[in-house]
Order: sequence, then C-alpha cells, then structure tokens
Amino acid sequence: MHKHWQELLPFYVNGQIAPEDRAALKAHLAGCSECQRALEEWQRVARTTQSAAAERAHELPPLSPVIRAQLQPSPTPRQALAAATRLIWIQRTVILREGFVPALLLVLLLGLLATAGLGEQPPVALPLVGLVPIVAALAVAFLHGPDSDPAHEIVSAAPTNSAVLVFSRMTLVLVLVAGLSALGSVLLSLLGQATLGPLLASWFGPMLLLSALTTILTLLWRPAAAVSISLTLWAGLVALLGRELSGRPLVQVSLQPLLQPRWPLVVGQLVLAGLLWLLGWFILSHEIHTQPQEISLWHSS
Amino acid sequence: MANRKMSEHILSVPAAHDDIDYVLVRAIAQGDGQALDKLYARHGPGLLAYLTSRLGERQLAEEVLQDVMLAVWKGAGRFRGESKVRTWLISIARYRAINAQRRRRLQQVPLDETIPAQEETGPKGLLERAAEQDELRGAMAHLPVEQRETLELVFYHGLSGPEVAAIQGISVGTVKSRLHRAKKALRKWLHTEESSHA
Repeated sequence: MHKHWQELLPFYVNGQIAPEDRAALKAHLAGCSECQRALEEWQRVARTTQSAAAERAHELPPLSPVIRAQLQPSPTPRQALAAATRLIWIQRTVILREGFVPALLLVLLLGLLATAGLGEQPPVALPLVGLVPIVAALAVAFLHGPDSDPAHEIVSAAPTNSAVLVFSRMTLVLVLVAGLSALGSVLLSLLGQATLGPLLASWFGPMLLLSALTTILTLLWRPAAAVSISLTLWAGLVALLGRELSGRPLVQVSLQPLLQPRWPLVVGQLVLAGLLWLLGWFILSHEIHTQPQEISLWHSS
Repeated sequence: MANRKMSEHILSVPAAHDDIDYVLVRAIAQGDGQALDKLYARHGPGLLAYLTSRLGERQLAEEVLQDVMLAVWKGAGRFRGESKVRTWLISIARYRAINAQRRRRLQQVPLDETIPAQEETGPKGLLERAAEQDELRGAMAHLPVEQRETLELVFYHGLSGPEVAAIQGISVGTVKSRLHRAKKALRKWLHTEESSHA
C-alpha cells in the first residue's frame, strides 16, 4: 500500500532511512507520481522547518557565569594540596606589605633577650609562652579587620572562595610566627637553656588556641575588641603563672604544667584549637555568603 | 513488513564511539569544562531552536538552556552512548522545558512568527514562492506543539523514527501518524504549488 511508502518519505528526506529501504523507495518513486508529489511536499515542509528553526538558533548566548562557577571540578587531594600551598604562598605579599614582619622580629628578639637575660630563675618558657600567643593573636586579628583592604582586591581578582583566602592568609601568618618562635627556641636550646621539645610544646598549643579564639571574636565583633579580650585573658593567665612561680599563687589550680606540658595537655590544646578554627571557618563562610553579591547572575548582552 | 522491522532495528544501533560528540561527553564526565564549552557551541544553537519552539518564548528558552547545560555537566557520567548525543541532549531539554512550563503555568500558545518583509526586487516567481513559504511558515507556527516538535526533530535535528519516539515518549507508529497529521494540516499551503503544476 502507498501508506507504507508515504510513511518512509520524511525519513528519506532527512536521510535517516535504512539503506535497503532507501533503495526500494527510490525504485518505487521512479514509477509513482503520487508519491513523487508527496515527496516534493515533504521537501517543502523540511525546508520551511529548517529555515524557521535556524532563525531561532541564532545568537547563542554564552554559558552563564553561574554555570561557569560550578564548572570547577573537584580536585584530587594532591591538586588541592598544591593549590592550597600556592595560595598560601601568594599571601606573602600582603603580609610583607603591612610592615608586619619587622614588628614580629623585634618582639620575638626582645623575648629572646629577656629569656636569655633572666637566666634560669623563672622557667625559660615563660616569656615565649607569654609572648608568642599574643603576637599571633594580634596578627590574626588585624588581618581580618575591615582595614585589611588587600583582601578585597585579591578577592575580586581571584576566583577563590573568600573564606579560603582569609584563612590562607592566617595560615601564612601563623606559620611565620611559629617558624620564628621555633627558631628562637632552637637557639635557646643550643645555648643550653632548655630542652627543645618541651619548649616548643609549651607555646605551640597556646599560640593556636589564642589565635583561634581571637579569630572568632574578630569575626563576631571587631579586631580591637577581640585583641583586648585576648590580651586581657592571656596577660591574666601569665600573671597568675608568675605569682605561682614566685610562691604566691592566687588560684587553687596549678598553672605550672602549662610551661612544661605533657602529651595529653598538648593534644588537648591542639584539639580545642582545631575546633575553634572550624567554628571560625564556619562563621567566616556564612558571613561572606550573607553579603550581597555584586556580580549579576544572568549575562545580559 | 519484514523490511520495516529490520530498518527500525538497524537505526537503533549506536553510532561509532569515536565520534566527536562522544569524545566530548566522555571528557565532560571527567570534569573537563572546556569540553562542555565545545559541546555547547556545537549543539547550543539547535537546542535553543528546539526550546524556543517548545516554550514559545526566547527569554525562557535561554534560561532553560542554561539549566540543560548544567544538567549535562552533572549527568555526563550517566550517558552510556546508546543513543546519539544530540538525542540525549534534546531529551534533557524536553524534560527541563516541560518542568519550566509547569512552573510558569504557560498556555501553549502558537509561536509568534514575525514574517519578514517582502522585497520588491527579483523575478515574480521568486516573490510568489517566498510568499508561499511565509504562509507555510505561518501555518506551521499554528500547529499543535507535538506536531511542530515532531517536524523539527525529523527535519531540523535529523533524527530517525525510533529516536524521535524515544524523545517524545511515544511509539514509532505514533511518530509517523503525527507527521502524517501535520502534513495533512498544512495541505492547504502545500497544495498551492500542486495546483500551479497542474
């Protein structure tokens, strides 16, 4: 019946007909004027469909920035580590610009001199335990203040999450402080004033703890308030420690273990610091997401 | 009868897997953003035409197209190469378009086909043919969406019967009857040429 042939015609026109059907249909068309006419009609329909659709296909808009942003594939752990290291290293220009490093060196030098000068009378660790956490906390507080403009230009230039940027900067600062303090500790131990391990352990945990606490206070409040609180807290602690060492303790609890912490205490400090940092990260991410987006989501041409 | 069955079977065999579209989709599944750009450049226009036709509205079509590309990005790993990439893309686009329409509760209006102005120059035959073309195009715009979609899938996207059936969720027989009904509805505009031949 013609119906069979006529059903094949559209697919003959668009080239999707099976080869053996094509041959058969071609043979049939040679002798059937009705089907020939139908073929011409289908060809007209095809041409009109194509031209109408082609007009609708013009001026393809670019992929929207929202899609582009989501196109970042999840990196392998090695890639992520490499990227994180690169990012942290890039922050050095921001740190150097603030005049931070000279101040840091000065403070730590003073601390070292004080330690060396005081001799063995108060425990060696005391100046370091007193100073290093404060220095770190100060640095961290003013890094994330509203005065840190460099954050903005880096944020707008790099397609990185702002929380990541700020935290990478903090990481660099802490690494710097820890590095210099470690260097000083090594010097002191070489001078025979203390054993290296316990000395390092004495200020490392408190440094992380106090800077984490200061970060959170800065995020929730502002740098000046955070610094005041941290400073007061730590100065109080050091004062209590001093009193206890000189034989006139003010509180029942002994704070001496802080100067020569055992493993459980160090681990406890690190865990607590870690939790505080996580909290800080969470607050920072949330804070950035609630700020109004300046980029428009739909590309308008 | 046996011929037809065999042709339908042959048409459902997947195309060669080193075809560029397959290469691109594999790359997208592995997280290659540039491959998505390339796929978008290749198939974006066709998808845009399809969506504009289905939704009747260019702005909405552009938005849905972005959704489609995001779905492609996320779902590329699930594409097994059993159909042509174009078919797979159109299926996604159709699903998204239907959802978009449901959200917007749009009525299925005929396409707004602005017929381009005629030019006075040129032989009269050309002018007449152009006029007929525009009338035919206008008539096509008023076809029901399923018939219009079927015509586009066959003649613009160049798909086979089984592929069209898969996209529209119907049988091949229904595809053929839709084509038949569409042509019947357009007969008035198609027959003007026939009468001039007679």
